[in-house]
Amino acid sequence: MKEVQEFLSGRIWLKEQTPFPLPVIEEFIHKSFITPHKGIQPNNNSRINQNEKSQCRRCGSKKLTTFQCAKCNGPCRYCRHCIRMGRVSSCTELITWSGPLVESSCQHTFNWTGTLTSIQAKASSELLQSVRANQSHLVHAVCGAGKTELLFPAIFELLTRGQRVCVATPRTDVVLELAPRFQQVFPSTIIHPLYGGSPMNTNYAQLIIATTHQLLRFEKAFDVVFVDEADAFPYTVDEALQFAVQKAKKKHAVVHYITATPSDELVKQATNISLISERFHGFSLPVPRFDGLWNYNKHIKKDKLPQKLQKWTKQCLIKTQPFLIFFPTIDLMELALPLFQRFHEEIVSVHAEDENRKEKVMKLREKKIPGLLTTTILERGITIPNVQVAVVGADEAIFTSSALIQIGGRVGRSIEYPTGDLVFFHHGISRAMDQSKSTISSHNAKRV
Amino acid sequence: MNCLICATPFLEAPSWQRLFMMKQFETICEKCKSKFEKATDKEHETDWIGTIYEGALDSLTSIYSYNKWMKQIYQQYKFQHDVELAKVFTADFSHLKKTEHLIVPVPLHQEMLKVRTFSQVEQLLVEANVPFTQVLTKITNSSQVKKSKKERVTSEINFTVCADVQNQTILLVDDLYTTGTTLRHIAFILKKAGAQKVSAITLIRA
Repeated sequence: MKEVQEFLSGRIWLKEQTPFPLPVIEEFIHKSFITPHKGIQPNNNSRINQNEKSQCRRCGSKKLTTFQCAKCNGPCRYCRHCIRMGRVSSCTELITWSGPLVESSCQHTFNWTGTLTSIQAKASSELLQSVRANQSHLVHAVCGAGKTELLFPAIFELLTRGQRVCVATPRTDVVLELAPRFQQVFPSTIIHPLYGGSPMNTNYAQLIIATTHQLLRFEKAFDVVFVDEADAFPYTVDEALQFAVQKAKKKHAVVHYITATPSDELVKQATNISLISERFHGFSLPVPRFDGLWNYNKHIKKDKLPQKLQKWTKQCLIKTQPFLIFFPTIDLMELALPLFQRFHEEIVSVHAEDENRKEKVMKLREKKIPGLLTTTILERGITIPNVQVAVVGADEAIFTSSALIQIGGRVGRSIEYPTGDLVFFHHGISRAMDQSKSTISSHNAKRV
Repeated sequence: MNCLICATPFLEAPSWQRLFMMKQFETICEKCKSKFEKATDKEHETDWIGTIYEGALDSLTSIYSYNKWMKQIYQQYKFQHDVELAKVFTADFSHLKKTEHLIVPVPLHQEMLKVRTFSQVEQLLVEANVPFTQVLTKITNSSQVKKSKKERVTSEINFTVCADVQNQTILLVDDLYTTGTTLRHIAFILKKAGAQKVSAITLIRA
């Protein structure tokens, strides 16, 4: 029983796709230790129209597709939104654990020798107060402030109280970066990192580091949820992911948010806020400089790299400084790539669907390649010592002020190289550019 | 309209054909569409020369090649049971509405049909509004997938003819052509049952 109990506790899973044989599951259903739920559920809110009356039990999507099902011999509805986790339809069942609760016998140890700066320490203890009072807390900390460390004391206290904790983020890259750090700090705690394609563990983890997407597979599981980078794509545009966080937590559990660029909405809904305007190393944030790159689009399409961009790239190459150049679209970036390769053939490009993304970023960090062209996919989560950053077409709509702030946050992160060039090449200054610059400057002005 | 594959909204270029309802709505965006590759005509009979199946299949047409993109879409359709994706291929089959041939989709075994909840071959025809007739039954629930090429060529026939096909001109429809074993087995038994001509069309040529 223990295995099934540990796996299913807090989870909501397709009955046919558990790691256990079906007869075992059936027996637990018979004993009422497992509760089956219909995959597609009627929406109880009677005021909405007929078409939207049902929703997917797992992701909450109301956009359902009807087809003639050979299993249930009639019209059946299924959800396309979360189909990659296994199809949920009218005739499939999702199961949850309703038997005895898991008793976590784990002794937690806190193995962290670092120190917090006084500003970090203040935010950390404010967060701890909020956690104790069960009030939602927003940690608004600039890029490179050292956000992760200040979660440690609160998480340790929660773990020792026997509570189940989740650190969620919209980005797989962030999960991959955070999980080993947490494991090092809490060496005797069972921690599961969960993302699309992560290894399946069946034991009970008290601390889960997951993409918000994976939280669709949990229900009333967590006593506390921390959402890191809560303003990142796709969390902000995909309602199912916000639904996922709400569904994954226990009813009275609160959600805490950590980000460098909170939306107004996020600021509004937080009960308590800690602001950190200074980076952990005490140097000011790099302020972007604006530089006109007129008709860059036309030039690149005519196989010509604008002079200023050429000069900037050559400077980086001469000084052997690694560089990132952000582009508004994949198409423009791919057009520009061969033009850059004329200066150095090892300059490469990355985008969201690039399978070698991780390796390419690693190569840049190890100085095996001089620079990377990228889309906004690398706007957060990466640290490369001494990196220089240029944005081409910073006035394009895709570069929102928070995107620009995050991009700027890549520069000067390490204590060895606390400064660096941050240039926004543009064809006219946008409001977002102005906004990002003034936000960065005001953070710098607030430094003690 | 949102693309059935990547879910991003897209606008279809207006055209007279579209206006007069002579063309169906696009279901996917240009970008996703451009990633499909048409199949090239490849020799398909060589392996069968000298066997009893030589000449059983009169002709073969395949629409797409099995590139990485197609593998991914096809996987989502057939194995993740994303039935709606059949709509992506509507235009590829709708010309069959005018054919004189008796259209026969390759069937699934009854048990497999229950597990999969839909027939991935029939669904393509249903979405394209192409009428079809089922004259075949699959008798064993086995798949060709795990067999080697040699095993496939010598394997037993898994299908039977369950209707009268005397003097019929038949067009078989299948999803994936790999070695052609299934189609040749079926063509062979159809001819034995009196069919005059048996051709085949498959969505993909591996």
